[in-house]
Formats: sequence, structure tokens, C-alpha cells
Amino acid sequence: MKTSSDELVRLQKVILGDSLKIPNGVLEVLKSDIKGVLNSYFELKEESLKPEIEIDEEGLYHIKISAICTAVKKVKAL
Amino acid sequence: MSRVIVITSGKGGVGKTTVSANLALSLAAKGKKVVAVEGDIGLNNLDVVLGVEDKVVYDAGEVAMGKATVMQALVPINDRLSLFPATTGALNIVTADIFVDIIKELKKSFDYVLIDSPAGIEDNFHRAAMGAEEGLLVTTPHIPAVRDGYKTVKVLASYGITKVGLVINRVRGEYVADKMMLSPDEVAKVMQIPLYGILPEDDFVNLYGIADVKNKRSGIGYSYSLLASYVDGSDKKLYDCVSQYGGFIGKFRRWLNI
Repeated sequence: MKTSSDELVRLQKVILGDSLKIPNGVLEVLKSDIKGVLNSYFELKEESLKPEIEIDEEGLYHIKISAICTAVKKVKAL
Repeated sequence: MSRVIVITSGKGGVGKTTVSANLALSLAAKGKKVVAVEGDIGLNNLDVVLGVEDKVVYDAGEVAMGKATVMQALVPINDRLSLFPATTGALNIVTADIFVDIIKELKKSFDYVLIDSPAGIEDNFHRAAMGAEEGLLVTTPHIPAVRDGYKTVKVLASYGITKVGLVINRVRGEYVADKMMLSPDEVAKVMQIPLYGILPEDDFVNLYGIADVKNKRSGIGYSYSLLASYVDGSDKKLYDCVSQYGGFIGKFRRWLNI
């Protein structure tokens, strides 16, 4: 059963999408792209990647990306 | 000084006309001279909710054509409340400019001019918004209604209506207490407009449209009385729909569904 907290998150996302004038699917595309980049460096935990976009009172966008990884991949440095 | 308030929503079916009628009755019960204006021309129902659909002689259409004066078209509800009707025939006759002139005329005789706007942001909304100085946004605590309401607030701002209060209708206190329904505070925070009123779900209003606004023991009546005080500025108290469902007795009440 959905709780009011779930509904609040949904509402905030819907309002944000309308405010940003971007389709709802854009966050999913962004998530997929970021996942591709981070996967090159980290062993990402499934479903832990969360991109969030917030708009402040001055109309500036705050983009936050959080993720949990289980290990760091060995990357050859130049 | 007279105030002109458009009562609007984004989504239809949230109880806008019911709120318009009951707020008008509540303000009148507080001694204010009020006129409720039918702004939903063509899909008018304010006359029905106020119970005077058979008393309408002239309407906005006849006023626009010069067949009646604004004051002749008024339908008295009680000593302090009148309805300014607009029936289907007025739809293509009453332009936004004529509507604004009618509102200006009504302002001279009433403390409050409440315009019941249609749902949505189409032509009828344009006419209703053109005549107003302030707004009351009615929504239910459900995502589609809040989303459309949020858009409507932005549209109102484009008409220069920046003083907008939020009224959350059909709140189920037991669901808010159980954290199954968005709380009025949460909705107001997301919408970023001040909360003016909380109206509980009420079977009597669902059936008959009108609340007993003079009866303080009636939850819905009391909530409308508080809303009228908030709008009027005489008191800034909000209806508490949750506390009766808190604690042991509240849990028992929820269990019994009363």
C-alpha cells in the first residue's frame, strides 16, 4: 500500500517535471547515461543510483547524484 | 473596501462551486455583504447549489444586451448574500470586457465579490480571471488535482493575480493520521502558496452541496467558518482534521470508521 510519503515524492517529481518543462522520461535517460559513466569506475549497487533535480526560489537548478558502490574498479591512469 | 476573489482550480470536480457557495454563505453569516458570481457561463451550477435555480429572472446575458441592469439580475439568497447568475444563453454574449464591467458595478454594492470560475484554463477561465484581484485555489489532496492547481496558480500570476490562497477540500483526517493521504501542510509546501483553509470530506455536503455554516458542532460548518475568517483576516486558524483521530480514542474511532 502506498503511503503519504510515497505520494509526496511522486507529487514533487510531477511538479518538478512541469516546472522544468522536461518530459518525465528525461530523468530516466539521464540516469542511464550517468550509470554508464559511473560503471566504468565503480561497481554500482543495483538501483542505488538516484539523480535528483531541484529548482530553487531564484530559478536555479540543483542537480544531486547519489549512488552506492561495492568496489572501485581498477582504472589505468595516464 | 470591496474585494474581488476568483475561486478556481485546475482540475474539475474538486468542489470549487461548493466552496464558492459555502464560503459566500459563511462570509454573509459573519455580517459581510456578499455576491456570488457565476463565472462558469454555459456550465453554470452555482444557482443550483445555492438552491435558487428557479428564481433566476435575468442573467449576465440580458445585462450584456442591455435588457436588464446588474442590480436587476441579482437573485437574493438571504439578507446579505446575492447571486449574480449566468446561464447557458450568456455564453457567447458576455465578453471578458463586459464581465469586467459587471464586476466593477458589483464592487460598488458588496464587501465581497466571489467569482466561481470554471475548471481549466480555457476561455471561460480567462473571463473569470480578468475580473478578479485575488484568487482562491481549491484542490483535493490528490496528485492530479494538485498538479493542475499548481499550473493554474502560474496562469493566475500572468493575469497579475499574485495574492492566492490555498483551500484543500475533501480531506480525510483518518487517512492523514494513518499517513495514507497527503497532509494539507505537505500540499501547501509543494504548491508554495499560503494555506487558507482545510475542509473535511463530508457526506452531507456531498449529498446536498450546502454545509450548516452556523453550526459550530458541524465539522464542515466550522471549517467553512474558519475559512471565512481566514479570508476576512479576522482569524488565521486552520481546521484541525487530524487530532480527533490521534491517541487511543482516535485509533478506536478509526477502527470503527466513525
